[in-house]
Amino acid sequence: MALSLPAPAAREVVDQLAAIVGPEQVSVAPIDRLTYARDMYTVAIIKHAEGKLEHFPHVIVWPANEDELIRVVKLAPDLGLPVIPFGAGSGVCGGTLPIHGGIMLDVKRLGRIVEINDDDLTVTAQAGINGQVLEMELNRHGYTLGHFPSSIHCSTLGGWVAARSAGQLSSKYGKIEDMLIALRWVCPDGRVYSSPIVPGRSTGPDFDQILTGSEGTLGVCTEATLRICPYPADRRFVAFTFPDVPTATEAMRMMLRNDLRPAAMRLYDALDTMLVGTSGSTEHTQGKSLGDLLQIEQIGNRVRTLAPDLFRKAQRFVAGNAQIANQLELLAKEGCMLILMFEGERELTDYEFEAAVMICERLGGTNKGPKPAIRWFENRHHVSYKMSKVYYNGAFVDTIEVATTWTRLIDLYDAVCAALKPHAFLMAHFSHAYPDGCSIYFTFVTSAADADEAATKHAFIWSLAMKAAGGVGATLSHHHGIGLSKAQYMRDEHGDMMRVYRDIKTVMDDAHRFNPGKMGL
Amino acid sequence: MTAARRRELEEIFGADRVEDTPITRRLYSQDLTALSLVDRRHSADEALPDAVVWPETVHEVSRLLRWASEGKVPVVTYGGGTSLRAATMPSTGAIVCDMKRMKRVTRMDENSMIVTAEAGILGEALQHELRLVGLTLGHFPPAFYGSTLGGFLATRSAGSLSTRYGPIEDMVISLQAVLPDGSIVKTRTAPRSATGPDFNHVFLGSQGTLGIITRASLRCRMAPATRTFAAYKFADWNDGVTAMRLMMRKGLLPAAVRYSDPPETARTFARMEDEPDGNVLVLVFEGHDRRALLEASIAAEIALSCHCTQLGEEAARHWFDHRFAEAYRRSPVLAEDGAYMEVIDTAATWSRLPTLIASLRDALAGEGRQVSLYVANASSVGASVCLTVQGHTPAGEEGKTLQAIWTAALSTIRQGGGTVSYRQGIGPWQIDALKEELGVGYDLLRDMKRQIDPNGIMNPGAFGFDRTS
Amino acid sequence: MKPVLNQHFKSIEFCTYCPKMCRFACPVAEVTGHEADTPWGRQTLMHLVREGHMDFDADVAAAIYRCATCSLCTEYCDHNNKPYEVMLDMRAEAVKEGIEPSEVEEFRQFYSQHNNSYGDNLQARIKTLLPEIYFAKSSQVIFVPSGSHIVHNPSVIQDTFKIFEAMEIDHVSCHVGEVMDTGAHLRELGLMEQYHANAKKLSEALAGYKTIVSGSPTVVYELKVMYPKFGYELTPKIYHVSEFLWPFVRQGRLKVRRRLTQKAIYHDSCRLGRDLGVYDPPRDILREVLAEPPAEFARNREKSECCGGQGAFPWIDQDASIQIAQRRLGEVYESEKRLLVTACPMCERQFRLADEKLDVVDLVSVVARVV
Ligand SMILES: Cc1cc2nc3c(=O)[nH]c(=O)nc-3n(C[C@H](O)[C@H](O)[C@H](O)COP(=O)(O)OP(=O)(O)OC[C@H]3O[C@@H](n4cnc5c(N)ncnc54)[C@H](O)[C@@H]3O)c2cc1C
Ligand SMILES: Cc1cc2nc3c(=O)[nH]c(=O)nc-3n(C[C@H](O)[C@H](O)[C@H](O)COP(=O)(O)OP(=O)(O)OC[C@H]3O[C@@H](n4cnc5c(N)ncnc54)[C@H](O)[C@@H]3O)c2cc1C
Ligand code: SF4
Ligand code: SF4
Repeated sequence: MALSLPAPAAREVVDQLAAIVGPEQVSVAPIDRLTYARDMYTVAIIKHAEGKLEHFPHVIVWPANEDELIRVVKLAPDLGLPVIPFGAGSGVCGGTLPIHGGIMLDVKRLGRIVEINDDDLTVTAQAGINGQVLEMELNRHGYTLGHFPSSIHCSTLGGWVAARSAGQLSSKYGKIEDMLIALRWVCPDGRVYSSPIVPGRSTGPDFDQILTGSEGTLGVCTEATLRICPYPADRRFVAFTFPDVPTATEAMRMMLRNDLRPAAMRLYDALDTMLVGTSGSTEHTQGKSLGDLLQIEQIGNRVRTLAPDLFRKAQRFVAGNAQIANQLELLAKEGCMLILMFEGERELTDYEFEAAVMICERLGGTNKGPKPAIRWFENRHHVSYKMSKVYYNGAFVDTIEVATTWTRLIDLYDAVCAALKPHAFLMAHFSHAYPDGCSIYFTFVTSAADADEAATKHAFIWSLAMKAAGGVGATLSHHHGIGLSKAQYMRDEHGDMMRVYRDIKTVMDDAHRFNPGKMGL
Repeated sequence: MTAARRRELEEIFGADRVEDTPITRRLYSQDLTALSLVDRRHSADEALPDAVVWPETVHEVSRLLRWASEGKVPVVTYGGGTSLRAATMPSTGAIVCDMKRMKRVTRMDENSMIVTAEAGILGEALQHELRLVGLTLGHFPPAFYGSTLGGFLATRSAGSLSTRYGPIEDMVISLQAVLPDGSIVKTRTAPRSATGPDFNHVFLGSQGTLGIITRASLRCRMAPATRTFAAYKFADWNDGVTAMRLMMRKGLLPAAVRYSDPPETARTFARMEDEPDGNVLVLVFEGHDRRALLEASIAAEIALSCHCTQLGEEAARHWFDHRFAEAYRRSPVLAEDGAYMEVIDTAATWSRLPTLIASLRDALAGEGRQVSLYVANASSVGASVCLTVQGHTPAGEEGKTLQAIWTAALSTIRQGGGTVSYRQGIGPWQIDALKEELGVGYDLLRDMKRQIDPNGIMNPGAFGFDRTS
Repeated sequence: MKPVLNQHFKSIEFCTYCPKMCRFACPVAEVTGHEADTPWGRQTLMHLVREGHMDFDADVAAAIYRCATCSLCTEYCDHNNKPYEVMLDMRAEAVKEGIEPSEVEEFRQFYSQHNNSYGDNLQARIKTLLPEIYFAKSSQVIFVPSGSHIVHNPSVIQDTFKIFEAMEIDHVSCHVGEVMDTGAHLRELGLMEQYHANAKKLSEALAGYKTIVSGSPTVVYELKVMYPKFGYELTPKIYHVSEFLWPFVRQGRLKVRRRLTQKAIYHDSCRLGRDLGVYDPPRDILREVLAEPPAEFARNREKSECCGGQGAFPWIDQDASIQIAQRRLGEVYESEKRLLVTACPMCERQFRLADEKLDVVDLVSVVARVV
């Protein structure tokens, strides 16, 4: 039975929008309402695939430029519809889910690079530009932004700014908010906020940093100016193994404390080390997903054709049985792998490289040479493709990226592991480290019979994780944002500061027209 | 102040921490703003606060603000009172809340290099505590000895070594503040997060208009093991600017880069024997031995490729040792009737900087007046410019002259793509230019202020946010 | 339709659960920004259809026609997924069910009227382009001219034979016959009935030769890869003209009068490059005739971007196809004036449509300028 979608926007609404953007760039067709109904929020993915999603946008519009976008925004109150800014829908927290329907405002046609300024080392680009397209353009001209989220292929500049994204090289280049020089932003009432392009200023609170991270609740980013760097002249790689997580994090801390700024600094816990197989000696597991490791895919392909139902059940049993899966840890004899990459000017990378090797060796690391690090670098996008395999194998996956100071880091690791291991297969890596602290990126895999069970299980696991993380005072998200799925934890994170957020919301969007129901507002 | 009010304040603070003697009120009615200093030579009528209070805990601050909100009493938060932008000038009837008794270091997380301190701590005192454990904040504004952490935060301060250590907003991890209605809010202590807007930034730069910052946690660094010095002299002014730009582009992080024009050079090195002259670039590298030396040698290569002569490291050392001297320069000048001196700072991207500097020089030049400047706090994107304008007018004309200087400077800055204020915040005479620079951003700040502080009690008048103006 | 979807089960599922990793590479998705225009979008619709959550209706059918079959997505797919194969198969299903877009029907009529994809009477036109001797059937090597060249840029065909002559390659004759078109567009638009009829005739006409050469990668791809796939095995060896010429050039048979001093940049066509793996011969030849080696696009060879003309896409959405070409041209405009060289009539035509003032030339014509 085909899904029956709720009624779309009325004809008049479509006509009014079409008058602004042209008839081709407004749609109420089911193909569009369905492809805009979700982002990469685990529960939404499963519901979508099972035809169980309940909320769909009333209408989708694709303005060609800022002017059209403003006119759409200004029209929205007359239409009585919510507005949801949409980048590429790679968010993993349900940030773009149209839970109250509304106008899906796709920003991607604002996709131009406005200026690359060589003297200032800045790029100004429109918010809808795809991340990889932006980086390739910069590379072509001899620069890099240094922002490499695993989703760089499938996310936009506006989405990065809106959700405070972090790239794999954030230890050196910082997160997107650290790169930001200026913003252009269409406010919910259609006014254009635009901050000056200057290297620093003391002109009152920096509203850029208030809009950044607002995930569509305070309006739409249309343009951003970011600092860029000359494309690195040199790269150095090395990897170390450490007996356990605390020894390894200590080495990370010491490097950062001593002013080393590796571009990449990634520590995998024992299970992650084994699975991701970054180590030179575990060739057989290299690049494998959980599914591969349990060899269910090969068997699966045969069984699938014979008894598809049975097949899924078998897989789900394995993936869903956390105790069995986590036993794999016993096989993990490698310890923890730390990957390091330095880049920049030759003389400086040489220095940093040598200093880092010294610190790691002194702290009990075993030098594994450059290979594992090079392999990581070359395959750094592979992890994002693994999602497909996991789902295909009947399981589901999500990631939890929390962060805290060095002092509390191991407490955080232990607390989340203790809370989650009974319920899901769990591994972790530490991939965004700073002189003052570090984030932990937990990946959990489990399974459920159907979307409803998955939703319940997912929510349960998250609630345990958030409680454990909050208990040690960690921040509940380092770079994925809040969206819908974590909205209920905003109060835990911010306490009364939510009042300030609401005040800003009241000032900018009293009617809660922009992305309603998100961010715990 | 009415006796009833005084009693209410005493209930919160005890009798000894509420003062309303004329002397105290007068002392707290001024700061170091040049315009008001010269004005006061000739007139005595100024707005006096009703009283000064000294909270010792966040709860006292909370009670104060709740009380003030209910009674719609203006509150001016006061740190060291070193603002040059009239940021603590009270309106009549205001209560001044002096933060300097909230000065404890509440937590020293050496492992994570994070210090948590109350907002009233003086820069020097905080640095002292850090020195004891081998850390540094790296924040050294000229008024370092007399200004407070809260003041740094509320004005987005930057210091002489901010090229390496960043301006104060880059160091803040989390803070605690009291909103105008008395509620206590705080942000999380995490290296970075993605849980909505960065609420630290509501308070950073707010100049006391959105509440009182009571505590903050800041990123520190290891105290440097070594320090290297170098100085270069450029025949052509713009070559020096280019050299700075290229150094930043290379990814070097000197603790200080400071490039002064001839008059500024003369002042900076006045007390040095064999003082250098001309356009002088001072470089200081610090940190680990090898790294500092390496960076210094790369920097030297770049400098020399930009047509300069190498000066001895003595000049750089001299500047470093006397880097707070700047703060003392004003008093002797301002003590004299008819004399004036003003510091104007801005910042611009590299592509605009040379033209902006040239037009500022043109715009500010005048009979009997000396304009000197230096470029500092560089990043790969641009740098700041700090101008000092000093001169004489017939007594009584000082205020008018300073106003004219500001008007000329601000319009030149606006046209040249600089910012109305790089550091120090915004004085009343900068508000129009601020509105131009921020556009809709100004309206948003004003509306946010009105929403968070509906009774308009926090530092009324600042930024021109009042309903009446 | 169900069996076809089941046959592509894995491909569809992988895309459905993929975070759209290849979207930045998809030229259609990049110019329209519509989620349904991403490889993920089209495949997800297929998933929803297969699971019965959506009807396979005209809207869905329209969506699956919005793929230019340029195969760049596959370059960025860790699973080596080929969403366009699903789209091609499903187009045939759409036609079967009579829900294909009106443009497809228009094309069908156009094709039956002209018996080719380009209009005009190709059989008659080709005869006017070359001396009669080239149509003698005795030769072992047959040159199959591109219909697009015949209609839009016949000089390329003349240049081709001029070069053959100059290099003393005198064993090539030119194909002329009732069927002048491989019918690639028929297949690409799902018109399989017509495709088969067409392919049968053409393959028979070409059966006797030892070698087939064409200046059109589309022709080569169709004859070499698709005909066998659909049961029309051709015994002759099949080459793109650049592959055919290069050995002769290497032997020194090309006498270059004076190398061209103009700066040039080479664009890889999708069919020639990714689909046929021919990257070097065109470049090698260019190096022989240019004073300076050709410049490269930042995205070149396997990663080359589509011109928008692939897969009959201009028939489906002319505007978008031209925007795709304009995107590609951005890089050409940036530097000093450069000659844009390609070895595919589709690309050449697309680029010219995108900018009529552009200096875009077929590889063969560049060579012809120096002999
Ligand atoms: C496989 C995978 C890997 C990932 N890896 C990373 C990673 O390494 N680092 C990381 O930071 N994130 C990662 N993410 C998360 C995600 O890619 C980021 O959150 C990204 O910033 C979202 O960008 P988007 O353009 O897809 O935004 P969307 O998902 O479309 O939107 C995200 C939120 O931002 C709002 N928004 C979008 N555009 C605008 C705009 N122009 N103005 C205002 N609001 C807007 C939306 O309303 C929504 O609330 C990953 C996601 C996936 C699926
Ligand atoms: C000679 C000289 C040179 C200077 N050079 C520099 C320089 O290079 N860089 C620089 O950044 N500054 C400079 N300054 C300006 C001044 O030192 C800074 O603005 C400093 O940060 C102010 O600190 P303070 O404690 O004196 O604050 P105050 O002057 O007491 O207050 C400044 C503002 O902050 C508010 N405020 C203070 N504490 C709090 C709090 N706890 N909560 C909320 N609001 C609060 C006040 O209400 C006021 O609006 C200079 C000053 C002088 C005299
Ligand atoms: S083709 Fe590959 S990368 Fe593209 S959407 Fe499908 S699975 Fe993802
Ligand atoms: S083949 Fe080309 S047009 Fe089709 S989905 Fe792949 S990238 Fe897009």
